[in-house]
Amino acid sequence: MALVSRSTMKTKLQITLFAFTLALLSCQPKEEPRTREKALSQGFSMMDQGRYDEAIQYFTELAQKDPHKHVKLALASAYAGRAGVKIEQIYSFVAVKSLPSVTTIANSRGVEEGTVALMDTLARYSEQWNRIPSIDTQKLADLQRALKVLENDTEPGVRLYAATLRVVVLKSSVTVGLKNWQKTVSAKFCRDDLRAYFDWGVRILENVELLCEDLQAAFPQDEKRYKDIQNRVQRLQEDAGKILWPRENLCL
Amino acid sequence: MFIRIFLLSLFICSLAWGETLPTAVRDGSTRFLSRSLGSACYTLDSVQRGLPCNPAVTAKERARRFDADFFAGTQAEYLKEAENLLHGNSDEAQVARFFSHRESIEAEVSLEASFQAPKWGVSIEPYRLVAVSRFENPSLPMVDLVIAEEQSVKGQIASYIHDNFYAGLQARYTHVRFIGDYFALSEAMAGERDDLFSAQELDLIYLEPGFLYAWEDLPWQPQISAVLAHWGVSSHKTEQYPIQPTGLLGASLRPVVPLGLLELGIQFELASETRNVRDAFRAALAYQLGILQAVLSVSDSDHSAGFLLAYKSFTTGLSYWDQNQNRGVFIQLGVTL
Repeated sequence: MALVSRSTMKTKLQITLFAFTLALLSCQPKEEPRTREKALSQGFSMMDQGRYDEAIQYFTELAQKDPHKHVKLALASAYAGRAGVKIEQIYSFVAVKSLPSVTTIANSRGVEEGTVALMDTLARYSEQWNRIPSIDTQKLADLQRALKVLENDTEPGVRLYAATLRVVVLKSSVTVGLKNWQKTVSAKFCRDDLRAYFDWGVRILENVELLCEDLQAAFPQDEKRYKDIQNRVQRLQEDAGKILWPRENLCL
Repeated sequence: MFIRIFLLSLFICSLAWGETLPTAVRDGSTRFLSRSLGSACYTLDSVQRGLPCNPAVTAKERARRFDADFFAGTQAEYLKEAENLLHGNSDEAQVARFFSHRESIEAEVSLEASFQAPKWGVSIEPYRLVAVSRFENPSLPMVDLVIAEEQSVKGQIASYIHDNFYAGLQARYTHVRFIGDYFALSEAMAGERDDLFSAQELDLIYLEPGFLYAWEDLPWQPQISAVLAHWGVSSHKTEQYPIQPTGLLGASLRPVVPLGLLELGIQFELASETRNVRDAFRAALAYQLGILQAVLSVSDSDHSAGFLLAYKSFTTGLSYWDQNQNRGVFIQLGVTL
């Protein structure tokens, strides 16, 4: 009886030791922890809770330690988020490539076919343009900061995000500029007023040129196409530089 | 003593580990059992499809059985949202909702055949497709994506050891071909997308011991189980398929009911992803009445339910689970010979 009991105890002890050994062996780390993702997740949680200031501070410190493209994108997106530019505002004009279908009323008024086609195309572009969010001047500063974060990175995904933010900057600048222009031309305006708008137009062209550079890096397979557009924009800039302004401050 | 030492050593392990990927990608249990019962399938053994989750249960088998199963499912709501998004039919609120999912989104298709005899069993899964994705960042979504095609074989041996004690071992080999990366949405749309979606291959071998104390002669047939799952080696290190052992301790009872067979169980699961004690517990029940078997499983973060309907050699089943507003439905079709 005692022998049986001793044998039982021995068996139990062996099994216990076996299980214990297995469990301890399993403790040996075989994978490197996903430290960057874990670190990024912490900042994204702050953004989910609307704590953008803290997220910007957190990602800025993280980017100093680890200047990986994902960290830069996270920091830029935190600035964009604080400016109110989230995925739902940019998805419709970035991800949906086909232009919206718009029917103009021109056809029913007996206008030429070519003109109708042109108007339809313009209407579709206008519809697409309307999908781009426009933000106020104060928030634009955050987008400029985001672009600054991304400026030296040539990775296609980074350049595409920079291009997306630049489009929002362009739309916002154009919207504000046009609004001011309408106010200006409703009253008496002079050469100096006009010069300010001319300079504004040149800055818009500079941004369009940078946008072309972003798109060339984002889509290397379409590089030639965007290069051609960039060349045309540069020619426009050169032509603008050749314009001679009257010396006296003429008013209209 | 055995249970205390086992529990303590697994707890130490869990402290030594970092973050883990969803267990559903790596779990080697029969698909219907693991989807319907979750980790409780390591203790509850009244529902039989394919090989049991705990290899020690194989030692209790009295008859030979061959099962062939088809299993498929996903989160239906997620698919609908994705379809709208891809067709450009989503408004701003719907886009925001789609990218606000913070839990893993999973889809799965599997074909499996298994043969079980007293004290041993083998199983082959010639095809399994798994897709898991997760989003972060409300401004520029970061995507953690794995799409994997797997082929697996596994074998179980088990033996009666002493008194009410059984022990078993499962050996599992899986070949995986997968694409997977962590990337920003803008990277997936830009020129580098081909690099992101290049396939990798991986071989995994697991040895998973299981133990069972079963008092089969008592009226309520109580049993206690302990399993060390996901313990093995891989051909190379990957973030998507980490080797992260999981310790499972459970207990079950079969209360005597006037009609049918009822089994109740509780499971304690300890892995590196376990954040607090509440996450580690799961309760489950299985009830069989004639040709119908129903299962229910509840944990702090999710709950699942399923049923199996057997007619002659054919079995059909449905499994439903719900986790943080994410609901998935899986269907199961099987043949038993």
